[in-house]
Amino acid sequence: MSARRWRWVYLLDAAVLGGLGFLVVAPLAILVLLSVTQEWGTGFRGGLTVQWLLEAPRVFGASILHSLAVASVTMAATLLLSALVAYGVLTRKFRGGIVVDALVMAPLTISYIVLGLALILAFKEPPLRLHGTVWLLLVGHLMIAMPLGYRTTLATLEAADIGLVEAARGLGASEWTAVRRVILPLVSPGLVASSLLAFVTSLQNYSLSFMIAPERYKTVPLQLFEYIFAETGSYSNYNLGAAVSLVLMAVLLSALGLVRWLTGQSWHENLNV
Amino acid sequence: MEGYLVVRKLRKAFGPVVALAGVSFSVERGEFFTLLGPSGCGKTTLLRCLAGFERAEAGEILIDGRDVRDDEPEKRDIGFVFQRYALFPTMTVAENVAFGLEVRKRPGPEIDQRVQEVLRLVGLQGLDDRKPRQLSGGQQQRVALARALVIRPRILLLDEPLSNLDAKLRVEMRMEIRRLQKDLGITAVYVTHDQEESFALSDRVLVMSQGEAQQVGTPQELYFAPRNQFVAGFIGQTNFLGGRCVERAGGWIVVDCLGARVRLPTERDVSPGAAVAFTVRPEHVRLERVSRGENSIRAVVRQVQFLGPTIGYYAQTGSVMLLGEVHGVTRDEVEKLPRQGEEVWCAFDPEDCVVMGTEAR
Ligand SMILES: Nc1ncnc2c1ncn2[C@@H]1O[C@H](COP(=O)(O)OP(=O)(O)O)[C@@H](O)[C@H]1O
Ligand SMILES: [Mg+2]
Repeated sequence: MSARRWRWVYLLDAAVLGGLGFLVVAPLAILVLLSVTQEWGTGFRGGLTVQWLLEAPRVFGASILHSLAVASVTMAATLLLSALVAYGVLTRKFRGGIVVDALVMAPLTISYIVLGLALILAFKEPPLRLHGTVWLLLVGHLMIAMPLGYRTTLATLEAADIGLVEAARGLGASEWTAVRRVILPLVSPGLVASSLLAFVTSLQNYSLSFMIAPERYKTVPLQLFEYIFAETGSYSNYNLGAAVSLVLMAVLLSALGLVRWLTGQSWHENLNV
Repeated sequence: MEGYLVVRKLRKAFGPVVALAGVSFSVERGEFFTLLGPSGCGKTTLLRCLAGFERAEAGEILIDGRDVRDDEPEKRDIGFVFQRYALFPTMTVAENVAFGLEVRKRPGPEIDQRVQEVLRLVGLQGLDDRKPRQLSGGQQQRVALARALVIRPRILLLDEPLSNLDAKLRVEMRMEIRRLQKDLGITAVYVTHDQEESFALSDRVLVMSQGEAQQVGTPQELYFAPRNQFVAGFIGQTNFLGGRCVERAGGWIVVDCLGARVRLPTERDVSPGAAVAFTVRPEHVRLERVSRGENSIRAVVRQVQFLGPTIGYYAQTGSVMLLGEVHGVTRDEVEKLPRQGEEVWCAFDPEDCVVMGTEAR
């Protein structure tokens, strides 16, 4: 290929990278800008401030706690449930693996607004009267987090050679010991990834929460929406909204860093090829 | 039969596929016993039933007189060496080997000592801290062996452990496995599809085909007295021939085969005119330039294969291709052997023929 053609390839690369980069970076940059400037629209000219960042936890304190609580419980439940189901399906512990698979994935195909409505209708009467309680919110978040968590867990387990459980049992380990000592170290990075997906899915969700969250248990997305749209007229709400997002992002990034540090090296290193 | 391991009428099917159709055998304490058969005949399934990874639908498995069919794998005290090793990838060599002792809650110093001992035994000392992926295939095989041996299992099961190694290493490793088994007095059940390997290793061999036991015996018994066509064909190569009985006298019959009178040893009651099937191995077929009367079949040499220690012949008579082999010929003798296109007599001794079947009256 001629040098001329190469130059075109480089140019194309630069254009694609630059374009994508701009699309991602621009909103993030504006987010940061908004959280530390005095006033929406004036940029740095209006003066810098930490007012919003300090105010965010105060105004959004309750909903931040709610969100983190719901996301944590959702994450833990998703992790446990997807690990159990994926292991069961892979080792053929129960019949109808395909049905289980379809059931877990189903919520992905339903509009969350409709899903919320269905949940309300299903759980507004005894024996399971969950409507208006935080339990329904947890059930809903679990339903939308499971497809991602389960898929990731299944893929991780599939890559890990379940046959090793037999090898360990043959050596005298119970099935639980075999899974804990042989499979778990092999799949833990994958499980962490699966958990994070579940956590973020819950943390981000607006539409389902909008339908089923109890009045007194607002999550961050719900309160943000109210702040930014319901009480228009004051620009400061934008800045506060941006600051809240920034605070959440910081929390997420440090959580991510923490698990990375805790789980140590990459699991690719241990996969036998 | 009251062996250390007794298997009676074991049956296992996967949906419509019958993997084991009622297999029975018995293994003595300290014996090296091999399941030999073509791929897909149910060898792995049988081993997995013994280890408890698979549940048989019917039949019994007795170890030391006790039925173990309802025991979980971890309760059976059986060592298993997998075809693909199945080493624990996150653990080092030493940790892999120590695993079986740790789950048995042995004290630390004892574990260390026994791990070192068995690593020395299989020739892996100094590799304690390697991860499985840093080892060669042969070394991984040794770790798998050490891991199974260290728990001093009642029975050691090995599923084609050498099939992933190259030919030379395979021969080396099988000597080593046999040595270890003898030194440690292990009761071993070994699986292979390689007849030579099974003979080199085993006290006794069970030949399997399509989920059924065909014959059990020492290598010599299987070689010299195969019970049916399948065994005769699977153990080395052989010529399948047949003819009509023309004469019968105590312990012998004479059949008319491919235009020759062939004398065969048999105790069966064969009436004149009945069809008789028999086999004779290529290594017992000599190519001669003159007929010796009985047991000489006239044929034309179609192909000569010089293989070094042996020379193989394909000689044709009518639609039948006879296999012959000559062993240990010197350089001078090679020159004088029959060539392609030459007419020869394929001769064999009556004692080397095995009657497989006779027509019932
Ligand atoms: N888990 C399984 N599911 C379905 N069929 C199986 C399974 N395991 C083995 N089989 C079938 O059972 C037969 C015996 O298999 P196997 O015991 O692996 O034979 P071998 O080890 O002698 O090659 C084969 O036809 C195989 O396809
Ligand atoms: Mg097999």
